[in-house]
Amino acid sequence: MTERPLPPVLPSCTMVTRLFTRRMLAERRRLIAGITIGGFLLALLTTALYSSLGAEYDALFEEMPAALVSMLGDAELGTIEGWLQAEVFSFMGPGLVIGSAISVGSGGLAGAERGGRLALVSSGPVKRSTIVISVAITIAITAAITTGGLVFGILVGAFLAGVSVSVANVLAASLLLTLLAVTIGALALAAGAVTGRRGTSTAAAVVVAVASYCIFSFFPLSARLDSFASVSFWHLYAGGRPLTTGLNFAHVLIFAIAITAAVAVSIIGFERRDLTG
Amino acid sequence: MSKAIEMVGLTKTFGDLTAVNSLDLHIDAGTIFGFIGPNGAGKSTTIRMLIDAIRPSHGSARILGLDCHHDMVQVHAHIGYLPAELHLPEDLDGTEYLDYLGALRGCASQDNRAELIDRFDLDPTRKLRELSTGNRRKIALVQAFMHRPDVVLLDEPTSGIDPLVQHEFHTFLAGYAANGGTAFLSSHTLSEVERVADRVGIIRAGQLVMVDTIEALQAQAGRRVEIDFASVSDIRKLTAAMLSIDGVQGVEVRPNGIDVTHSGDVDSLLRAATAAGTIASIRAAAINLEEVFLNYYQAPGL
Repeated sequence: MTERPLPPVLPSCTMVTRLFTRRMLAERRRLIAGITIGGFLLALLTTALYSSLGAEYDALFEEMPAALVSMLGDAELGTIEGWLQAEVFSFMGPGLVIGSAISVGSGGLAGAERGGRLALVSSGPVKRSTIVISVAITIAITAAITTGGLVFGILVGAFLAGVSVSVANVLAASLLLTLLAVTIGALALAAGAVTGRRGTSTAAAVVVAVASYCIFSFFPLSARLDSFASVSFWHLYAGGRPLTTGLNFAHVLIFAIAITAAVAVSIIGFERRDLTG
Repeated sequence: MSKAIEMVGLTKTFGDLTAVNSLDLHIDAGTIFGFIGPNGAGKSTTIRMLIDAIRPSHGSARILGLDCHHDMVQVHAHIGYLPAELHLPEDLDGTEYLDYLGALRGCASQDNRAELIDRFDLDPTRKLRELSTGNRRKIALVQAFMHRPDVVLLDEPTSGIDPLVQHEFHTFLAGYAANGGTAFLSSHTLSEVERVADRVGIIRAGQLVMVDTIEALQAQAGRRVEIDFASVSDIRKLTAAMLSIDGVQGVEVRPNGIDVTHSGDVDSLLRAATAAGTIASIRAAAINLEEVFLNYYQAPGL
């Protein structure tokens, strides 16, 4: 130290957010790449197999119990849309994308805090809200990338198999899947921001995701519960049948409100709490 | 001299536990303040309140006149921090990590960083996961000072670092303070505090039990005089006589002599000793400050 300190020139919030987001994505690059490639292969093989297996499965579905068909999104396997709904968008695809979003949501804040990795970065001239927003953006990017693997797989598979799919509707379903995953990831973020516990954060998000899926899939089977089936994030994602009818903007808006609310709770919770690491 | 750090009634409770109890303390700019105390005394809690990682239950803290909570971003722009426990990202090497932290702090120049890396003998090209405890600590030292902060908060800065680098760090820290920087140094290494600090505060069970300058403590500590006797008439009488002398803090009896801890003049000690018997030898030495610190650590009722 040979001279007195200069007045610090602080980085902008945008720059800090970019730095945090890049770092979080870099830390999770293998996980994200693995899930994206897995999703791509799932979508590719499923789409490519539609011509040879779709009709047989359709016949099989005719004989399936209603509960099982409902679990697969009430799909009609005789159409490419129904086939993709049942095989890609009902369970496996959302599982991959939501799993990656929960991983970022719980690990990016509560996980980093518990692991002591926030201590040095949070001692810099950085608002706590900037850290939270960076994690939220990382959740969104992660969900978009992993969903992109599915979309790319479907389009390549359709091309290879010579099957015609509505690109607009696939993109609509994918956008809603991304929004569903971001919502669940943002809930993980909120639980982690409020409690500082990664386990609680992951558990809360998984419970919400599973409950949403179950409400959407099983409530319609009961005349008494049917009217409550729409009270589910899964309904916002799949209830409008985006693969056949396209994007439901009302559902997009509700997702946006839910995500905003979850991020707001995260900021307030994280601002008010003593940090553990 | 302006106050770089100021704490007023700073208190932190966790449920029934009072980790820090009504801490009133100010630290002048351009000085090194040693903050010592046993494990769990409240040292790290105090530092974590200064960086706003945890919020005081009562009271407030200011750095460079700015409130540590309400003006957190501005405060952080002026400080360097080194935590007691380090958790570094394993996928980066030293250079990448320092680049990252430097960018977060708006640290454009790398001149100071290069000087620190050279000074602390650090190889920043190695992956952080491959570094030894000492080398990880060096990374933490470099990041704490590389943006030329006005105030540094150091929690066990030299833990795990070899003596040569420790010595270099102490020299560096003295230069940092001489150039107007302020260091709040929490340490278990009492000799380190004695060597580098201008003032020392001892915290015990969350309470500040002593704050003084190193010079005042040294004067207060006095010296130990070891007197060996060829013969002595009544050791109990001699002990009582010694304890009645001004400045005598304690007397320990040995089989063939006594050790007297005192801060007054030696003449009265010698008179009492010669009156009690025949002196064989006398040795006198300044008391190590570590002993003073330990007395504060252990003193009952504080």
